[in-house]
Amino acid sequence: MDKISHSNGSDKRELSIPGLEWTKEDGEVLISLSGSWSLSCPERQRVLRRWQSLIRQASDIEVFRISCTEDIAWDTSLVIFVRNAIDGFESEKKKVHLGFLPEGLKTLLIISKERKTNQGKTELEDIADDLEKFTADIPNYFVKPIEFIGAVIIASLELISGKSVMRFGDFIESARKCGASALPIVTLISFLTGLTMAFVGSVQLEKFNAKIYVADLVSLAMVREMGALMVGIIMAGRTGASFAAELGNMKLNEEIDSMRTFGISPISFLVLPRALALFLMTPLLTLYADIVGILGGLTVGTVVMNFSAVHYLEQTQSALTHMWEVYSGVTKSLIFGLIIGLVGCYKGMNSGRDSAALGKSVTSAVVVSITFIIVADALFETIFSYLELR
Amino acid sequence: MNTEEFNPIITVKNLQLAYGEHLVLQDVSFDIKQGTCLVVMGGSGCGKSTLLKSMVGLLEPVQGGISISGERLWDANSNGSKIFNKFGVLFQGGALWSSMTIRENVALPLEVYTELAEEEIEDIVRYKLSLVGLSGFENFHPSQLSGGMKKRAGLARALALDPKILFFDEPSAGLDPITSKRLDDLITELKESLGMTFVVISHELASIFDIADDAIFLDAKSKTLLDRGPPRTLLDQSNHQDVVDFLTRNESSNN
Repeated sequence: MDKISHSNGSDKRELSIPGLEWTKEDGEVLISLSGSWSLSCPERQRVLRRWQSLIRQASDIEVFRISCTEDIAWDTSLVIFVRNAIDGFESEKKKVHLGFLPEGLKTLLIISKERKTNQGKTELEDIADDLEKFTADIPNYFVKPIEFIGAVIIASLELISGKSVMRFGDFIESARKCGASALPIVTLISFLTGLTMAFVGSVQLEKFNAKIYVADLVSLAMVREMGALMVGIIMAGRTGASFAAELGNMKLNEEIDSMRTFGISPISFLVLPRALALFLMTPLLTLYADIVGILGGLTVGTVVMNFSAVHYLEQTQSALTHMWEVYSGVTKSLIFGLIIGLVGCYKGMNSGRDSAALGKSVTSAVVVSITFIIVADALFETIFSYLELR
Repeated sequence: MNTEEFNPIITVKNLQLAYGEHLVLQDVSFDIKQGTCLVVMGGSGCGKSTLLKSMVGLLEPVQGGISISGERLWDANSNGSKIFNKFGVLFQGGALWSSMTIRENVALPLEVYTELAEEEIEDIVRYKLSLVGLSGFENFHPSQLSGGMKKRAGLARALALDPKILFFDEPSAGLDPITSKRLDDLITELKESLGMTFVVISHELASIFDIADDAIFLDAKSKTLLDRGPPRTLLDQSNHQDVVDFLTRNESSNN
């Protein structure tokens, strides 16, 4: 007889830790469970490791008998242990006999038997499923956005012909939220951008003894490039994200569905006022950012480089005589505003119906609009350069 | 009995519904008489809500058609908005527009579809809210209301345009027994006093026996309509064990 007992401490100690007795007898193994089986008991890990090694050594045994002592204390840990033991033995075509088990444990073992049937997908199959889903979705990446843009164009035409359900109040409210409320952050960021460019430029230009050209550098970079780009990025993070979150949440609460059942187009009622407001506010904010950026440069020019304000501003004026630089910046910003508004609303309208999906839509709204802005910016510069507009 | 009662106000014919490639329902046909209340029953996941979605124009059927008052939904030639003010829909959570007050919620359909003066709209809103027991809550936002109040406000909004038909997604879900009973009573009152037609999704047995003139039972396994008839008749005479199980098991636990 080969008897291995796990809990070999005093009686008192045995009660608070899981006990596992493994008795080999006539080619059969008697497994007797005792003590306290609790998920919170750290001793359990040791018993489980011991169990694994016992199982490995018992590959020649055909019959197992599992029983519990009457005073066993148990919770889910014992259910899972016994369930896994039975499943393990049965999968190796071995016989399992159950001896005394607490009544509740028996019931739970029967219920948990069905648990295994739903599993059985390997990691590879999961990846294949994901891939299949992704390829099946590819047309959606093109079709849905085009449908959306089409719907927005139709809604805009309805607005022009005076048949739209869009409320003017909603447009004003959106314009206030994405325009006036953004002034503080736009002020701070463009002022600091102008300031930084002046500092960086002054170091280089000093080498050529051409420090006054800092005014040209700051004003040209600001109106042509940085004003529109900075406002675009601020708007994407601030307004684009909020559009996606607002509309996504409305979708989550079936608000958009209920609007459709009233025959009210959510595109006209929700998307149009937002997109239109952003489309019109972005150029205004860009002009404002241009001015504040130039003031940032002026601050460095007067305080650090000791030019007079008049001198600095005259230099700025001569740099911007043609005004083309300003127009090109504003043109870009119109497109940026359009991109952010449409992407934000599209992501919100097509968000999934749970809060994780909503978070994903908001993130993707910001990422996609910033990417599109940068790409559009590069395209603009390329086109301008080919057309020799500078 | 007037002749209108024999003309179905809603006809569903050979309907097949799917989400992408996942088939939800097939071969569903039934009609609804004017001024009656039809309950759509069935276990979880049998496609009740999907059927409702399709009947209110939110999900295009793969096959088959739905006519409301003789006008076909999903027809390329039909003028959508004409159909839309014939029915009202009450979603499970009320689906109130969260950025607007209760007054604005109820008033919006009136503003969109009618040329009424502001004072008149105001009167209608107050009347509809008193109908559902929500007088005095005009200036509240949906987030300030309880679940049951949201549902009732949603009902007031659905009633705003005096629709002939009202679709109702699980009126009793998430409500205490008394509030849910009150909502059921309101359905019966509206049906009897205004002659409205109701399509109600429910799996609350007590409520089904209270409000339904007629019922259809959808089955998740066969993905189709298993049986139809008044719930009491179904209980006594249905040939389908699933239907009887559904109606009795719950009833015995209710008693």
